[in-house]
Amino acid sequence: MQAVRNAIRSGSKITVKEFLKRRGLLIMLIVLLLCIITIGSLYISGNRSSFITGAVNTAMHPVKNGIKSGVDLLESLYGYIYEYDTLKDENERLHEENATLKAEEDSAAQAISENEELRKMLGLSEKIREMTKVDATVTEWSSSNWANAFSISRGEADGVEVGDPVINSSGEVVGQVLEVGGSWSIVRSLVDTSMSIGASAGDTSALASGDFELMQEGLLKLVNVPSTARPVIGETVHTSGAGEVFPPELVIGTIVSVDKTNSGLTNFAVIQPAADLGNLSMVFVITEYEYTG
Amino acid sequence: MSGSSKKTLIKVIKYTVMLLVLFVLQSMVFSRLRIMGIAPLILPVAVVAVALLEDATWSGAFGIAAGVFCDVSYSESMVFFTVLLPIMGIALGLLSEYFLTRGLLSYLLCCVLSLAAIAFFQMFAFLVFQDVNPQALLKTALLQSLYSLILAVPVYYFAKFAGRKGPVQ
Repeated sequence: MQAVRNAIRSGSKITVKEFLKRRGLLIMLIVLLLCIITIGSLYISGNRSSFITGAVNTAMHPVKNGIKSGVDLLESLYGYIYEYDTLKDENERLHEENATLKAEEDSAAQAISENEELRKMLGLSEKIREMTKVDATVTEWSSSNWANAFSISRGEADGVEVGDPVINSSGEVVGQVLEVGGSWSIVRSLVDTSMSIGASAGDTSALASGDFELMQEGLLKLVNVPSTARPVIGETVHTSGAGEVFPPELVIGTIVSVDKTNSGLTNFAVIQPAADLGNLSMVFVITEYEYTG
Repeated sequence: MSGSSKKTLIKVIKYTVMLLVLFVLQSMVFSRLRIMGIAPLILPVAVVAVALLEDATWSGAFGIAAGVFCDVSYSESMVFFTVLLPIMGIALGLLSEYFLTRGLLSYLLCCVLSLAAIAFFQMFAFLVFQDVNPQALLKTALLQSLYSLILAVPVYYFAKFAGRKGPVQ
């Protein structure tokens, strides 16, 4: 082997036959292994994770959970030591906000009661939205710079399936399940470039869609808005229920700007997600829902 | 167990530990320490380091393992890095065995070429199948490569500590 290397470095010719004789088997074995991995992954993947990455994800899942617990502990210690005053102020603010919300809840209860009476009087059927949800912890965010996704602590064993909508504790959309393992799942976030949800802003039906440039800023686009429609800045965008993947009337975000496409035939708007995607720790996967209205 | 088998086993263990440490750094530490929203690629530069320090066999095998873990940290169902990194490892391993002068400078040059190739393949789908502004893609690719290059130097010395300390004998 050393003679071959010396021959090459000194400029002497080495024949292809000699090279393949010494390295051909190794190269062939590695290429064969790569082909098996690729073909096997494509054949088996379907709606599940590819078997290699799935196996590694399953094996690393408890390790990642352990590391995350350690990181969370360090973060909370850091917060206690260096951010005590900030946390104290935030706690007081949350107490005041809680008191306001309780007062609003009493008003809302009266409004619901009045709504039910009016429905009975007018003979209107009740809108029902029932959702079966599974709570999950966000374990890690993807390190990709070309996509926006995160892992959660629930999987096939908990009833999670590919395509299930994911919301936060306030019922705001955060993403959609992309890949499922036994006890973990990968969620494509709301601002990911491959995201596409039927949406409505006021009376306008459109599509909330990811965009690469906007993804870097944590935003997404509202597209296919008819040129006759004029979305309003500050308007809330909800899911429309089109496609029956996402339940209707879930909050997606707020319109922050409106513009015309290059063709001039349609408008598009930029949406600021309602959910704080950068600080997600707990999410809910909607495994089933029923909506009549 | 013979002396050389024992040394090989120790080297395998060292490279495995190195792989796991770098995987945790890439997927759980540097994914949070983003600069202008960009996270670095640490496992691919580790493959380049092993290729420059070892031979094609070691770098190909390390490339397969690093590729799998890289795909896991990217939350991808495709086997992009699982296929690309071993090919890169073998090619650079052969280059370093027969043509390149081994050292930090050669390593950094190989890192630049490898990171450029990876960025090109990552941009390809956006350029061909989606209507994305090429400038935005290039900006992401450049920032990713620069950030990864900064971390390439400590990764090189980490790999040197884990494996062989001199040229191939």
